[in-house]
Amino acid sequence: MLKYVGKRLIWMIPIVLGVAILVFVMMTFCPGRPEQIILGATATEAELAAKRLELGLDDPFLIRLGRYMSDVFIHFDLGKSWLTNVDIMSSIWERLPRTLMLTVATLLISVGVGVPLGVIAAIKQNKWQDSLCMVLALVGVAVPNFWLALLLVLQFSVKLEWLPALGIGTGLAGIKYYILPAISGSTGGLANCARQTRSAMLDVIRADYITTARSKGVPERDVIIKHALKNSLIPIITVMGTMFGQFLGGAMIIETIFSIPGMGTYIIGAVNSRDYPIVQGGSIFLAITFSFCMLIVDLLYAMVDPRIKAQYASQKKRRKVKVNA
Amino acid sequence: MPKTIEKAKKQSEFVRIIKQMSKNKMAMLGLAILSAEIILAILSPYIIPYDYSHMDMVNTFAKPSFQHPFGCDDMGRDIFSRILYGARYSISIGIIAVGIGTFFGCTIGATAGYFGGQVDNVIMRFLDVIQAIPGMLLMIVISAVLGPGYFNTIIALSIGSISGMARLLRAQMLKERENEYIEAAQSINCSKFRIIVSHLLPNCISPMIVSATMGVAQTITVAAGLSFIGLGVQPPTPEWGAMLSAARQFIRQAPHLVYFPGLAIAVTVLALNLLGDGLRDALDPKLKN
Amino acid sequence: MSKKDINTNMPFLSIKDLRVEYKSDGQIVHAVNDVSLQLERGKTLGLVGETGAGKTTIAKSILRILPDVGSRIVNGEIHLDGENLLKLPETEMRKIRGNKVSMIFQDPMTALNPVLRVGDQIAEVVRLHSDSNNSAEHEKRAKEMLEIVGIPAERYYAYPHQFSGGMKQRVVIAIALACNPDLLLADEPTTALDVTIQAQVLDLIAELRNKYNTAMLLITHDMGVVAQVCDNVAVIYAGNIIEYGSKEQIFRHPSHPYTIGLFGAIPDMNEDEEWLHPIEGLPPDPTDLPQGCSFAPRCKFVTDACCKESISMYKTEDGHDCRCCRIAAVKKGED
Repeated sequence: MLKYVGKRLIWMIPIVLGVAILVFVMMTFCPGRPEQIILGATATEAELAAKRLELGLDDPFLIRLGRYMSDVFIHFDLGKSWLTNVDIMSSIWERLPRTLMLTVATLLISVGVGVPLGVIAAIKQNKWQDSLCMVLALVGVAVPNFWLALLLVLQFSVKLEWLPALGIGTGLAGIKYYILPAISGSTGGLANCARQTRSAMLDVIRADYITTARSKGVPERDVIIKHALKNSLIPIITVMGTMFGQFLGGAMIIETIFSIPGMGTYIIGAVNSRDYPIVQGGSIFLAITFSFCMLIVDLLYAMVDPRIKAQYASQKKRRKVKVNA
Repeated sequence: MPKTIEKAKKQSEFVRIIKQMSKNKMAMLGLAILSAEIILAILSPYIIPYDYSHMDMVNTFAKPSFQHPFGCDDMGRDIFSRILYGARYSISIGIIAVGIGTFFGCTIGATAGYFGGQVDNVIMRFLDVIQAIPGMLLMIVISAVLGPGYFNTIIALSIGSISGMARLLRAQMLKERENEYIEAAQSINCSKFRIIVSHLLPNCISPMIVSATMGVAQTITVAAGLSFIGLGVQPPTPEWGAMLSAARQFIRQAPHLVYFPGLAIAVTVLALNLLGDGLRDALDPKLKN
Repeated sequence: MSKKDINTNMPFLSIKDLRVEYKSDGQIVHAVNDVSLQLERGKTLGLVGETGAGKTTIAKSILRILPDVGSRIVNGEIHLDGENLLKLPETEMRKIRGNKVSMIFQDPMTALNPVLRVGDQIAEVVRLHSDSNNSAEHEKRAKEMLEIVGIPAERYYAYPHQFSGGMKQRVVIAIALACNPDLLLADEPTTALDVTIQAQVLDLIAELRNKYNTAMLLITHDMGVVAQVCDNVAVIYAGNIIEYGSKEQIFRHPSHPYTIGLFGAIPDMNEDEEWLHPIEGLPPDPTDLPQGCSFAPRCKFVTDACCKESISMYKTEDGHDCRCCRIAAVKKGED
């Protein structure tokens, strides 16, 4: 297992390097001249030329790429903001936890509510509970999360004044700042989760081993939870990685609405003010985060499904298992 | 003689799918809503009660009324007219972007599936890199490069949907390749190209159609999201996301500005999803529960 | 039938007029139609018939584990040890399942839960029907069962995917026998296995049955299996028993045209036959059963009387019944 984790971590290196190169290449096509953006419209021609030299913008493309890559992956330096001159890496360390917190909260709501809904729908197939869950799921997928966010703000912040509409707080009191953002970000994933769970459960419930469990005298509740749900979780976990990516992306818009100073507001703000090093560094960092989460999801997958675990086991072990069988 | 048999078989398959679809009330509802929206969008310049950009300062923030069913915005523009006209932008972005994305995605996916080996390897590693960037972030980066605007948004969104489509087609082809009818075709000495075009692709097409339908729905939402954060279509263009973005600052004074554009997105996406579900059930009975 | 069971007048298992229907796409499938049968302790009854004849449905009805979507026991009684199982509350029924009555399933590849250890799957049934909460004890019993069915106890911790089909079926048998059931329902226990493994599994089942004096309902379409294991045989066609008797009676004097046809479909080793003799036609559509004898459309000896009303069982010899009006005619002629 450890060997597998190690292998996956090594696999991540070319992916992350690829992402960094891709993002760097894309950013060179951005409109505007960097020195102009840094120094502003009032800068003289001489000042601009000096800045160009300082940034090394006239060097060949490969040299600039190599310099950036070594900065990022050897010195762990993403450079400084063009406009505020603040170190990007330290800004990211400050902001990333908030984005992660929002994303994880969104994921927890989606799975925590979506899976039970799907289970209910499946065991009450074709009854009113099923129809209700599926209608909710359809609506959940259809409602855009930024619109839902606005509606929730309107209801719970403007009208009822129960929850804050923007910003972040500290400590336990800070949680309430994440409630509306997490709920509004979760509907699509929640609905997806419910639908996936339902169809997985319906497949599993008809499986022979469920009949076996019943024939053993297992109470119906345990048939569902112990025997059926664990098997249904397998397809759900496979989509969880993708879901995490969607939530991470969705969090960027949600952050803008609720003015949460996370990665989303950071990157989107930078796009609007043409502070490209931030876009570049932020994207690379988020891609790395995403890759780590995919790895975690893969490991979860192995935990639930012993067949996958066996594949992860080292070559030697696998052979032994085969011989025994 | 064999040709007529083939024709009859093909037609009956097509008829079967249509029949299956027409039995599915939800899918028909989706289709009806969608067709109505598209027709209204095409006809909108002739049927909207007010010009979508006509400002009328007397009616600033007017509440929904008989004259203005959805009310008016901060410039006194009729929201009903703007939403109908805006459907042209929102729906066309979704359809065109997915169309382009599907075309290139299928080409890339089929190339990877056809050549296999090193070509497949290179393509897949490149797609791995793209997929390591969360979708919305990729859109944001691409729009940062291209700048905002209708056509740039379409390009950004189509680039974004290529990798998913390519992966789907390739995976589907690899899965179908395992089937015994491919072995049967090989055993009667079918050429590789023929196997791909006349045996593999037709069997891979169903999930692509379903995925594309769902993709249009998703793309409409993402496009609106991009416009909402100011990176897609820009106000005063009446694209729904842009309208929401503009309405946001008036949420306290005039909440109705927020209701209707969002509702328009939700209804369109719902209709597309209903249609996609129906298509999936009709095209691939195996997937139906 | 033998009067071995003196505690009660009733036989150990008695099914009376069992009728089961499924609803599928708005049509009613008549899966089991007025089946009655009896089984004594320690005896084995073979249910023989084609796929779809309703054999499995009968077994699942006894355990009341029919899939709840659309299936319904319309009518009938199932008495086990004098108790009507169909009237029992669900909680009582649960105590019987896996304990007093247990079932071996047709396909070992899918009958085990892929994400649970095989040992735990055996221990589960032990735990459910034991008074103690001592999980070490349950585990011990599960390991014992593994050894009994010929699997080393240390494979307790293995997962089903690490086992071959034959081993999986052994585990399924271990689960079924872990609580020493009085009645074992074996649903084509060897169909999905290789021929060599089939014999091993059948021997294992027969051995364990003799050891614990378990009654067994063996469902099969394989006459060879019947010859090897059963005491009595019931031939099922279109959800109904059409011939019933001891193994010897059925094999020596098959009476119903369908049973005769079944034997005709087995090649005879001793004679040099060029062709098998299949039964012409297909089983009737269970949503639309013919009036009268359900075998009439395929029967070589069909008469007008066959298609009029439902045929009752006629006695051909002691303990040998046949649902064919020709028998009645023949009998009358003899008298």
